[in-house]
Amino acid sequence: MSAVSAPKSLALRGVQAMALCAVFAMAFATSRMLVDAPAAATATAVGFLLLAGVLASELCEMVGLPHLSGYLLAGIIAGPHVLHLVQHDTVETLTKVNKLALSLIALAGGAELRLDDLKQGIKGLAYATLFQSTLALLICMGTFFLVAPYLPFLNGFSLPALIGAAGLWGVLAVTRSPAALLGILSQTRAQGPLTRFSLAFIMSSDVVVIVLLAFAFMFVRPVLIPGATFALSDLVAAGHEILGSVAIGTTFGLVLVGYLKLIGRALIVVLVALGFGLSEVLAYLHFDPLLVFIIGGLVVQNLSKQADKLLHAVEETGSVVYVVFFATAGAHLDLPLLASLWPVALALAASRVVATYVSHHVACRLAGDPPVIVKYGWTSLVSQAGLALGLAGVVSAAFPALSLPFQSLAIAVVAINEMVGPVLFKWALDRAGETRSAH
Amino acid sequence: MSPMTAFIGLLFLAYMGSVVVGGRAVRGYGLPSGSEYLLLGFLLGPYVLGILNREALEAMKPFLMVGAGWLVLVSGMDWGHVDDQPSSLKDILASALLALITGGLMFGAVFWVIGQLGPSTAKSRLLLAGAIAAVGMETTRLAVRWVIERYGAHGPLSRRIATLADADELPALLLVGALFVYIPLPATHIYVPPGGWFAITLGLGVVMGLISVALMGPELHHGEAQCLILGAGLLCTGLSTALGLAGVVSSFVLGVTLSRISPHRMALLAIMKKSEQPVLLPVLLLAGALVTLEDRRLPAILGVTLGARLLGKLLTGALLSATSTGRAAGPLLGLGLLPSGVVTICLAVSLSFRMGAKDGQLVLGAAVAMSLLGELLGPVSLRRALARAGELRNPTGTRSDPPGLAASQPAPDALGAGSVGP
Repeated sequence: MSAVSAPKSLALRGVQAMALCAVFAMAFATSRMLVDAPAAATATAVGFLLLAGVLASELCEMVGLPHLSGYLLAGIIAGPHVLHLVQHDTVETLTKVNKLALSLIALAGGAELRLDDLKQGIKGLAYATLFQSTLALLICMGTFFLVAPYLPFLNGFSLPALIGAAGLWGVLAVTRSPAALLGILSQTRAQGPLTRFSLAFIMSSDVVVIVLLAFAFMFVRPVLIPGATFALSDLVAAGHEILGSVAIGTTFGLVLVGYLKLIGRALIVVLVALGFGLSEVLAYLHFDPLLVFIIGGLVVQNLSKQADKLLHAVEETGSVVYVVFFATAGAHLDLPLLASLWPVALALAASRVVATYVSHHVACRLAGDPPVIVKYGWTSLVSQAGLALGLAGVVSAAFPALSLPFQSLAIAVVAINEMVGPVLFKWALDRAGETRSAH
Repeated sequence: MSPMTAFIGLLFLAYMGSVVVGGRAVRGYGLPSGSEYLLLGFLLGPYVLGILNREALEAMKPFLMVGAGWLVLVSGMDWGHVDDQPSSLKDILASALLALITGGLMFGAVFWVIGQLGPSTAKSRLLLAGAIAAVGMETTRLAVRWVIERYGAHGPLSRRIATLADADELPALLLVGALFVYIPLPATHIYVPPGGWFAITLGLGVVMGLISVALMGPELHHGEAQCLILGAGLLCTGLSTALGLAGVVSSFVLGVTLSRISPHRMALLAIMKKSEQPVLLPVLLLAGALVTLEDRRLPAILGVTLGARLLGKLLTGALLSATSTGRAAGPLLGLGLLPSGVVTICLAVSLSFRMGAKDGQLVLGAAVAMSLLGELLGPVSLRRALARAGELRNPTGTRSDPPGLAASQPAPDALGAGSVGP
């Protein structure tokens, strides 16, 4: 939520728990009463996820868990694998709404980045980016290679093909979650070096992931697709995507500055229209919406005095956006899949945490980062969410040899990171003394 | 037009609602009931230009349904309050009775004319007549406030009319709730009698209201409140619609419950009012686009509907004129009560979805026609009546602030929270 509240009494928590049960009971009774599939399922699902998400987050707060965990939990329980209150097709519909949520989150993320702060921490950021996208990637590749015998869909793969698949996995492993980061920061109102480092690293990591993916596609395509040859066209496409996104993002940011300065009203409606409209156009033109919105926010923050106005407007929708985004993500979690793949998924998720931790420490030592970043900086890099899932879909579609099993494995690992990451980061922010509650 | 293009177009309209119209309509700019958007929708819709085609309208139905529920929820929050003070039970009952006079006349007239137009079952006649009576009972508070704001009306008659317009939706909503139960409901595993379903319609709103208030607790947090109200509103609409019940009625009851028991009524209203105008204009436009004139019964039904509404409101005006407060206003005061607006359109939209294409179209067509008639006659007549009663401080209706200035200033009382008199 957007504000840090005074501690609530036990009685109020009790009432909230009962209210949560009442909401679940009402939705459950309605879904069981009807013979056919209910109408207006999307409206019911969003309403239910909003109420249950807020309530669950309040209850999670009691045990020190972040609100995001509450939203996820509400989504998991209501989702198609537990209580069936939110069905598969509804989750798919809501996933489209999440594009809007992600664009607003990216815009807010960009608008939080101050170039002065970035300049101050540029050395640490450069080392972190270098090691997280090389050392961490290699460790994750190695782990994937080691667990390959336990993955039936890799049976019969030649050594180069296996290395190629591991490389794609490595790229997937170095994607982060801007949404989880901003969700936690929105709740905790954290400020300090750890917050600044996490924001700068995660927001800029999107560019790195685009480049890494282009390289991976370039090298892996000849070994995984029969008849395919090594071609530099992937790099050209990545260059086009990055430069084009930066150019469009800059223009978008300047237009937004002009609007904020000259009109400045009905910002929420404007942002929703842009979030839907621009995302569709960008996807059609093969530009990266996330990067465009981050750059747009960055421009507003650093080339104008309108950032507060923009952040305030995004913040007004923030609560609804985070609840819907993460509760939908919770409903989207494929629990049966996780149950079937959990040993391998757990090994891969654990190795990713270790890889992130080791790479972070090596980078911090070389950069001479402050102790608080050395100690806790890696925690913000554990979360994964929609971005990683989207990327897994892209890989799965591009390489028929990997296809759905690879995507399923990615979904299972992301599920673990999605649940563990926010808890870890909130804990770190509290320990680092950067949250309001810590003060 | 593809659904996505239509959606972006509606967002543009929502933007217009926020920036160009928002905050100014209540001060007397634009048409009082927003009928221009109904007409625009009709022109753009499949019956005339076809720019908003059937596919796009079908895709927009969920938005329309949720939008209608949301607008009625906001109306419920504001129901029975004038000058932010709750109206007395006596005033509320009087408003309901006066609305029932018009509703009764309309019901009788439409029931009779359907019988003349060809063979039909008693149930279908009852249903159609009831639906048209339900959407045609009320006087929209927005148009009354429009006149009061624009002409600076202040006095006992202005207050009486504002109270009447603020509280007269209740019988219409209850009737709609009952009609939804009367239409065959989706199959369920357990038997619930019709009265039980009606109670569930109201109960859903009450329970969601209680839950929302309990969850907000004694201290209100903006973001949390936003999620809770939106969640409760959507859940009310969604669950009711799933059960075949009147989501608009549950939403209205939710609004009334929140308004009556929440200690944060004004803060919640402020949160909700921000979204009212951006939702209103797309809803009106889509409602207009859904209207077709294909049914051969339409002219006759429209004729008796408009006639009965006119008669009902004239009777209401005559009753008001018989009191000490209304005596000076003259016998045509009732014409000033003709405007119908948001609630009428939202109820008609819900009924048209529930009743199906043929009869639903008639209800929607009648609602739009009533809105247009009210727009033509209502504000002018109300201004005259109030002028005769000596309650206008700005009889020429000179705008107190130029449009540019109004647009650049925030409107704390945007649509509905505006006060009546100082």
